[in-house]
Amino acid sequence: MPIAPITGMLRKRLWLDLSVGLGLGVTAAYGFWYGIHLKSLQRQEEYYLRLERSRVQEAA
Amino acid sequence: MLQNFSIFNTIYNDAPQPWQLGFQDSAAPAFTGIVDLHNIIFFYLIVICVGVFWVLGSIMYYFNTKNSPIVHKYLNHGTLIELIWTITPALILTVIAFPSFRLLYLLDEVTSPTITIKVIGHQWYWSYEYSDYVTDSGQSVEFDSYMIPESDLELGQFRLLDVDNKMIIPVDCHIRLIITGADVIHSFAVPSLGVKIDATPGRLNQSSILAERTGTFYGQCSEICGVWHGFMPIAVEAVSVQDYLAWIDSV
Ligand SMILES: [Cu+2]
Repeated sequence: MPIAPITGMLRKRLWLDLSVGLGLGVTAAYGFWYGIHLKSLQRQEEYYLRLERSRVQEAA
Repeated sequence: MLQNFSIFNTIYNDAPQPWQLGFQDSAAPAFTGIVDLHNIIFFYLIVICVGVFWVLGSIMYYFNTKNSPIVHKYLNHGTLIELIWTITPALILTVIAFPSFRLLYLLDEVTSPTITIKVIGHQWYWSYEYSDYVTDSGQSVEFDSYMIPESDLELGQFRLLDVDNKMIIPVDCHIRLIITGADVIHSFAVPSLGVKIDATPGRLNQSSILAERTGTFYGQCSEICGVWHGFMPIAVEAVSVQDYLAWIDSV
């Protein structure tokens, strides 16, 4: 008895996998961006702001 | 333990820490630019890594020989997919090249420097020449900078990093560096100021630095130059303009 040819299996999975993989990737990347990059930038800005304030205070 | 990894703890260290993974804290616009570029590229790196490893894992799980006995049918002659996975990375690399070159040319710019310092690499110490000034005897200000040996270290000094005569610079001033080597190739590198430039004998390399805050910034010779390559550190101390003038008056 002939069986139906198995076609398109790889293709179907590939689209699903690509979407899930890139979706997770973009999520993780934004996690890094907001959780680490922007946070450390903010810390630096705050430090320089504090420095500037104390400088102004000293001059006054 | 986690405190040792500086990506979790941005304290204001200007020397490397034990087990450090991330960058040192920036003290100059140049280094802030470098860290920014690194993090922008790192963003895409995360997307690509997670994407690739996810697909790879899925293929190993669903299409191993046990689950899919005829999988070798797809092993070669996949022209379309090969075109896709060759052209896509090429495009990504091209896109990354633009901000990278922009930063590179920005760093190369020397904006009207306040002072010029000549940095000379020797086997195995650095020497600095402040050619804008002359001493009472008519000679230019110059001095050698040797590492402090472990036996002479005082409390609070860094092993293999602290030197007897630091290079002193005024804060918030553009400084031009002229870098050369006296014997073999060395490399003058200070991470928090964003400089790393070869000190090549017979050649004058130019770079510029700007310290945005006072402090001592440490670096090391970064071109293997002989047995004591690891023992010729660089220490740059940024001080206020008044303190700088007082210091240059005293040498
Ligand atoms: Cu060297």
